[in-house]
Amino acid sequence: MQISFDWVDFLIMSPVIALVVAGVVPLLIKVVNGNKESSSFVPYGFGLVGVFAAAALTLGNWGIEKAAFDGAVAFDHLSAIACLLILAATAAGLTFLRENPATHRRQFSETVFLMLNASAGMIIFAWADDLIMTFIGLELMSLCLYVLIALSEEEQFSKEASFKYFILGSFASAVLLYGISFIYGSSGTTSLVELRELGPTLISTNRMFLTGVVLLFSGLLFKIAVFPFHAWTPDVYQGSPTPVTTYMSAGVKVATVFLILRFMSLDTLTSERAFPFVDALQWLAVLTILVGNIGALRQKSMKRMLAYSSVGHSGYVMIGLIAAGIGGQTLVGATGAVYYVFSYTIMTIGAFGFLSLLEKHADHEIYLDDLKGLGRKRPVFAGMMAILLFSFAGLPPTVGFFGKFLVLSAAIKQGLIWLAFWGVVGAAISVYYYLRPIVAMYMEEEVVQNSTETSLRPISQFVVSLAALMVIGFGIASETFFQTFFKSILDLFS
Amino acid sequence: MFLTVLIFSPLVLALIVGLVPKSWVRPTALVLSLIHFAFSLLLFKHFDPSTAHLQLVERAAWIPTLGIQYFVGIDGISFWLVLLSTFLMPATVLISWTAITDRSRFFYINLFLLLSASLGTFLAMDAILFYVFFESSLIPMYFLIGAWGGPRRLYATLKFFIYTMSGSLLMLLAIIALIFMTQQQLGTLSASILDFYKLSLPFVGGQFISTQTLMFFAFCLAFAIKVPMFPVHTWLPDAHTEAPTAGSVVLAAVMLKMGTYGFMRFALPIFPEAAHYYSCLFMVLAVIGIIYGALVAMVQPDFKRLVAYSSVSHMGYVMLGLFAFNIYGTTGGLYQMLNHGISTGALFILIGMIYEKTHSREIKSYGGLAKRAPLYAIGFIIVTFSSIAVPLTNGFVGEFLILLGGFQAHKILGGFAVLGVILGAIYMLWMVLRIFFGEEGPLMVKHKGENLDMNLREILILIPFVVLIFWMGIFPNHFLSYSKASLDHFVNDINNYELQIEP
Amino acid sequence: MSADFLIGLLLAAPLIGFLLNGLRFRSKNCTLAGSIATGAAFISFLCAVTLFFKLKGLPVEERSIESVFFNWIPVAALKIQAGFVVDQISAIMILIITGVGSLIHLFSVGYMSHDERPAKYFAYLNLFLFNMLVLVLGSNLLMTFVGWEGVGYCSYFLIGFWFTDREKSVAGMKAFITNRIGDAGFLIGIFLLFLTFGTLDYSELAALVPQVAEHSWLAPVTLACLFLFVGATGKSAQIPLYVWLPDAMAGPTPVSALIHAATMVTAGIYLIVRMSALFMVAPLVMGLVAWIGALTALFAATIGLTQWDIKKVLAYSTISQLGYMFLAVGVGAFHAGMFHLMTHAFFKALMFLGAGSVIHAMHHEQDMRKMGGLAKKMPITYLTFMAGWFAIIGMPPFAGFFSKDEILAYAFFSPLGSKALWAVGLVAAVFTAFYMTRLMALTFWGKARYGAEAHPHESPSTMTLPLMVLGVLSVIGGWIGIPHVIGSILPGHPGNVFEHWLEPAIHNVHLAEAPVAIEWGLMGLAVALAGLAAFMAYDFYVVHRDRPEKVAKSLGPLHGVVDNKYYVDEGYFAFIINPVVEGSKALWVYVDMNFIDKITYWLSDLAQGMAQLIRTLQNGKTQQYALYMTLGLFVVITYVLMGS
Repeated sequence: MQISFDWVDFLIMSPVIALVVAGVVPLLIKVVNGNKESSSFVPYGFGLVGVFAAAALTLGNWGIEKAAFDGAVAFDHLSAIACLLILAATAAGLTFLRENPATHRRQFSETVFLMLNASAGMIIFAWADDLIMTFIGLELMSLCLYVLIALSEEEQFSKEASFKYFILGSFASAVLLYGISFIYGSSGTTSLVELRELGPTLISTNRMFLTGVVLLFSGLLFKIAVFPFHAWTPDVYQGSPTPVTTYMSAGVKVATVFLILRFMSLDTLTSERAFPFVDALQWLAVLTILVGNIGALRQKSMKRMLAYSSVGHSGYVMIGLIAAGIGGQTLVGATGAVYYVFSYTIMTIGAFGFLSLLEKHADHEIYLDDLKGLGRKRPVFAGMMAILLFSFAGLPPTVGFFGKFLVLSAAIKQGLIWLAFWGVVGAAISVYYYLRPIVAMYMEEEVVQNSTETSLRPISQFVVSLAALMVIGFGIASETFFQTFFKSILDLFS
Repeated sequence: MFLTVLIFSPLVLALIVGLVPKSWVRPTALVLSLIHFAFSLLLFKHFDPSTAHLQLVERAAWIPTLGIQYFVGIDGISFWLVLLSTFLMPATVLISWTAITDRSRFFYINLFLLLSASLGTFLAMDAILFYVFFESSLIPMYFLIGAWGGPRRLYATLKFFIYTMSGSLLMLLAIIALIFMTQQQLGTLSASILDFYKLSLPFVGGQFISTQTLMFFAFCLAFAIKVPMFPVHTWLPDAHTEAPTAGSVVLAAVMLKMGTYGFMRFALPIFPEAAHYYSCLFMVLAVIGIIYGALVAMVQPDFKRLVAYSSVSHMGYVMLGLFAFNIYGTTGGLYQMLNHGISTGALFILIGMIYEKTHSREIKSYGGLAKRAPLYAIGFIIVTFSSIAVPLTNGFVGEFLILLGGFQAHKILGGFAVLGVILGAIYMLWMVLRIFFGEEGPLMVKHKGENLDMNLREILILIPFVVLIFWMGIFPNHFLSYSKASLDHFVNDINNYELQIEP
Repeated sequence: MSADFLIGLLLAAPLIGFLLNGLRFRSKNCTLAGSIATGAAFISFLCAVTLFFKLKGLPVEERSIESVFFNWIPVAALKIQAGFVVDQISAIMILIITGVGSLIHLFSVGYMSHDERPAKYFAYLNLFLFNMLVLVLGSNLLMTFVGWEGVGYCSYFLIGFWFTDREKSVAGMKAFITNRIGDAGFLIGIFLLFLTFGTLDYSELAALVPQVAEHSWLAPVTLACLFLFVGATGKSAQIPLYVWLPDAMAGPTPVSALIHAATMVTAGIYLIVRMSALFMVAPLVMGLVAWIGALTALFAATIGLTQWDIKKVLAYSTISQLGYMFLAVGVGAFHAGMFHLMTHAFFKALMFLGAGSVIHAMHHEQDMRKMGGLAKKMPITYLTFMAGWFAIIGMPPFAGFFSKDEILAYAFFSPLGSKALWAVGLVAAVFTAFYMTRLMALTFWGKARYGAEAHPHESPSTMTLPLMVLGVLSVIGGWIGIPHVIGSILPGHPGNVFEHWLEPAIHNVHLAEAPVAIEWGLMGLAVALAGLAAFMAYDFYVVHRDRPEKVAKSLGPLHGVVDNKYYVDEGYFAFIINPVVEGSKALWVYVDMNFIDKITYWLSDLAQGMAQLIRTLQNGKTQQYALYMTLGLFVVITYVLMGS
């Protein structure tokens, strides 16, 4: 068929282009310098420039609503938000990468290159208006991540993590692709725009299509670590260098959630043929919440604990998504999902950044006991983490609270009372393990003079403190974000 | 503007305390808390006791998408609780003067944050705003217990936090549901309590799985844990015993009131049918609480724990009064909230004083203290009398009204509640006997020659409490007259309760 | 002077005295503290006298001076005022309280001269006086309750005055708690009355009584009276709550005289007399009151027979005499109750003070076996005590004779009374005569049994003066209540002034005109038997000093039971107190710790267990993870395809 496009499409894609270019430049410089890196600052600088350029362009495009490149990608407010969140994660990730002992020396140009491309992939993934594009974005993102994870001074776990992620990730991608093929086979199209027309009828008439949808979802759920596709999370999060963990846990989740949201907007799940699937999704959500929060209870390693907690949070996002998916007053659910990932991004950047700041050398992993007495030694710094943890636990007036609040509201509004109930149970459980680091920091004396003294890492500290402040500030001022998200969702779901 | 300043100024004060030089921390905290208390006294000027309307209202859109607004106001029900909170602040600072040396700056900051949260809880008229304050009050208390508490503080603080938080989460669900109901019934999405009052919630007697009943119990669970009512009281003894003195004082005097206040503000007026239908259940629990608390208090070896259990008993009275659904019970309930704040607060302060000198709370190691610390003994016995409701002390007025109300509501239960009067005397006087009278106990011998009596600072702390004990006991009307209008309105119109806003 | 002022001063004086002495409680200056307190008491006495004559000046039907100071607890229909009323009843009470009170204050100046905390002592004494006055003057039940509890804690403080002695503090606590049991009953009574009549004001209550029948209020009123009586048994040491009074003797002796003989313990009588209108419509309760009274009178008297501690004897005698008063009010002879209350206040205070004087002289020796022959050593004490002795065993013309005779007469003739009640009362009287004579004999007669180191001496004038005043009162005190049958033969036919005075304020039972002969007969019988008993006691303890042992042996176990006060205290401990304490421990351990908390632990253990399970599933094996995913996928797809 005839593909036609004009300059606006390029304008829309410009953020992605900017990222890719900015990613290539340091690599070129390195090649020109005879494969030597003068300092990590240059690539870092280029990386940031790329990110900010992309951000600027996205904001410039704010308000445009168009399906670019013949409906390959759709750009609207939601896409812009997704893009901005991903870019935020990227910037934070870059910063931590440069200042983390495990990653700051090792081939930083390549790191930057991979990272920016991963972001490009995420953005495409989030924007995709066509299942093929979805897959492309997914692969671009994943492939870069596999390598990024492995790029660490730390010799054992990062490699193992990378490998695991690669195998399981490929498996998931396969499932996803399989689903896409089913959908194409049954509907004859991969474009979401056309599926918007066909979907609702097909799902109730055509079992193949339904199966395709289930497979597609499973592939996506893997990315946001929903039970039972979550098993990789703890190992990979723990194994990868902390900055990468920060980056992926935030970025991938954002991208995937936005894609699922886009898919939910197709009203495919509103017909009662799809109800069993919705049931299944609810079960998965509940199990995810429980597994995530209970699994975190007995973790000694902070990263592993946060990994489990991120599984739990995916469960809450699921609640929002389901509420959005089953029709009726969907908007609260969708807003909830978006706000939740938004808050999650901030908190994750803050929390993992905090850990990354504490790491002294490549093989240094932060355990609960390493935090003992930190509140006495660095009250402000520990205070930041305390705020972040309270937000994770969903205590008011933080973003974490309003995220949960919206999601639960959505559930109740949709009459999914028991879903909300389990959400609450999960929250109650989570309090226990989110408080333990605070106990360690403020209420226990350090046994041995442990090495929480951090070398000077100004930018990372700035980022962490910023996150901590946002957690409270954006929480109290959440209305503005509700409005923005609400509006942007309006034009997707209308 | 007044209430907003009242609620949020402690945050600023906390900031100031956080910035002054180390050596200035204590005096600054004291002065600021006194100023804040003085400021809160302006309420007498602004508040109009003649009406049941909501006064000094300030409202501003906060999260319109969900009908959440910043909405504060005060009426006769919250009036004294607000003043109680501000009144206790200087006392808590003074009592920690020498007791808290480690990280004192952070300690006082927490106290101020707690003050702000409590004031917010009592003044918020928007359910979500209330919830925000209600929950965030946990955090500073969590630090107070966890960082400055006794040997088992970690266990205690975690128990306290999880108990109360898990209780309130279900309430959050109920609140959300109510918010959406306002949209269905009133057209506009609103989290304002005043709109909640307007809702008509379907109630099916005896059927547990029905809208109003479920919501009612969701609220009740949250508040019952906070009060605490039997059988969800077990967090209290641990929290009280492990908390530093200031913590215990605020916990007993203010935080427990959040629960009873919650019943008065939410559970009873929003769900009148359910409240009436299940009132008997709650009265039974209350009476069990009264007797059970007293009995268990009687056999406690640790006198801080004893007082903690006595709180269970006293709060049982309050609940009995509230669920009696008559003017006497309700008035007594409100009054008893204040009494308990004053007398139990004072008891914890006194315990803190002696603990600071002897480092023991084991009753049987005391004995003959009255000889060594006569002033202290006098103070302690006065407060004890207030706590066992001897006439002309504040405790009597509250207990009498509650028992009268309870008796009117239900003869048998009322009769059983009266047993509390006897048991209260038994456990308190037995403690007094073992601590103050008889031959000098091992502790007295151990601290031979030391001055165990109150010093000037401690006397200064105690005086206002003693004055209030008698003032509230002899001239209760000076206090009740401020709440009368609201209480009458509360009792008479409970079935279709509404709050007008003072024009 | 206006009545308000007088009443105000009457109450304020002791309160000020309390503050003056209380604020300088460390002072050792007994004379100063004593004079402040005694002064205060005396001022009150003057006010009381003035008020009395003010009242007397008024026409009979408006003899009631009320003054309201402020609204105490105004809540809805409950309008409790801090109001005080002086009428025929309270006038007598305040005269007794302040009069006897002042004398005892005076006595204390001498008695406490060697104590190290005299100021504290007198502060408490004044505080007690204040509360006692509030009790009797209160114009409504709640004000009475204020004083009721007030005198309670004052006696708590004074019994445990020497608190370093654990025994004494325990006695104080016992008194307070036993009283609290009564108070709880009192409270319930108050609730019932308020919920029935909608008021607690005495005058309004009395006004409403006639409507009891038409509103069928009988049940609640009867119940209310019952509970009020429970309160009375607590305060006035009747069965079953009398146990605290003997222990209360741990306090300084003047305290025993003032609180535990003359005033506080009679509060129960006062309450019933005050509520006479109500009690008269509740005959059931009246019967109970009468019988409890009679039995207590007998029961306590028997215990009195075997006591060796001089104060214990007097204590049981007090319980027994209070029993008489309850017998009186129980048969509807409220005036007789009040009458005996007054005479008893005189002679029992006298005897306690006398005992105090003896104890003082014997350097705090209270065991009568170590006394004897003190008559010569301390003549004034002896003579005055003698007056008290004659009074209590009911020898005419001493005060006790008239009041006791009045009671027995009413017990016999009153429609509410019965021969049985009269008989019990009579037997009690006989026992009383016996043990009081025994006390006289052991203390004052016979030969000295104390060691050489003790040098008994007459007490200082501050102590003997009150003794003499009270001695006189115990002689002539009864003459204002001379029964008609005697009055008729006396020159000038003195009537029963006392009864006439009280008449309008109380609702006495009305007697059918009793045959004079029987009345004389009963009177004579009582006197004769008492005299006989007294002679027997004299014979036992002075002439043939070996007989008591013989009798005790012949009685065998019975004597042991009586000697051990019927094991009542032991019984209470075994069947009530210990079970409660143990039960509470059980509650704490089994309910709190091992049930409620356990549940929470179970929950957390459950979570932890599942956490462990998840950890084991999360074993790092990639294949296994892949397996989970495949299984999950399979389940979901099958579920979806089956479902749709």
